Amino acid sequence: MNIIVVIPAYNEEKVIGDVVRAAVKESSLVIVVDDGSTDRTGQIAAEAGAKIYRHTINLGLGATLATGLMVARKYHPKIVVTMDADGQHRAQDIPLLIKPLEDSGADFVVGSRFLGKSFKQRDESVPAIRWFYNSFANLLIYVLFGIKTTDSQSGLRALNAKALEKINIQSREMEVSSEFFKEVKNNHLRLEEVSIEGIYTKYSLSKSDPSKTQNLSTGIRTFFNLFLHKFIK
Amino acid sequence: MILFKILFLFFVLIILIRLGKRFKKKQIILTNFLIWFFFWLIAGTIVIYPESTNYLARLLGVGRGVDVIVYFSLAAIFYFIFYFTVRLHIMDNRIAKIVRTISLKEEKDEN
Repeated sequence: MNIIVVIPAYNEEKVIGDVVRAAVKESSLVIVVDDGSTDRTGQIAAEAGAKIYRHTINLGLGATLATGLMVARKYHPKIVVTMDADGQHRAQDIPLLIKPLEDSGADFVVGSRFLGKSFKQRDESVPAIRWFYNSFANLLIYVLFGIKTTDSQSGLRALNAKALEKINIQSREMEVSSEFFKEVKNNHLRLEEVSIEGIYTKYSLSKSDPSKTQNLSTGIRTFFNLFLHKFIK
Repeated sequence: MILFKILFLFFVLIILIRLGKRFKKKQIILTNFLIWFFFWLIAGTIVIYPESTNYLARLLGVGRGVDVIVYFSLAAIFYFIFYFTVRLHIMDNRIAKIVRTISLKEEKDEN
């Protein structure tokens, strides 16, 4: 296996088919971890060509990604890419992420929606509140883990075999995005960022599940959980 | 004040009975039973003899006996909040582990 794409999904039946079909073109295997969806997410993803692993109950993004990475390790891939299931990422960006892993010795690559872009220069589709939320989260990552990033909340990442082996995800929920940086720091992995385009559709911004949207209460909970992870292993 | 004492002692009595029942049904271990039994016993004694805390207050250099109780109670409450947060976190991880194991097993069984 050369490239495995891991997609954590929860109630994404409307878009998961297209996301999987696009990811299949860029990888050797697509693994969808269905986090206890109550709709047909798993079935549609399987029909689109993904291998499905299903949580019997909804655990949260962090636990779902951890399951995906655990499964991916069994295939001994050269590269693992994680991406969101809501169509927020373009599968065509996957080669961009892989390039630094192959060419410049990076271990962990993040697809950044904000790299080299100020608030005014940001993509039109990026809501202002999300830009501020992300900036605050980036600052927090720097204070807690000493890592500078422009998009700490990005779900599009690429890991080489070394990073896949070393990174051990403990988070249950949204704070997983930040925990990846903690693991990069603790395991002395080389981080790089590449610029990608975030796609914010009405669909991705109007999710009814509060645990999946980056609103204030999720932000506060994420903040609290991050502190918990800083001090409790 | 007498009414408060009666109500509080009644409350302590109910808690001690419930504690005894839980221990009898083996829902709590002996150590926990003894800790909570003595905790409520001391709470009841303090309500009956509030002046007994004055000695402790003088010893610790705190103004009044009641203040000592308030300080210790607050410290205990915050400690328990911390303790239960950590316990919840550990239980969360255990549940995640079980669910993950089931999902891997189901996939294996399907093949």
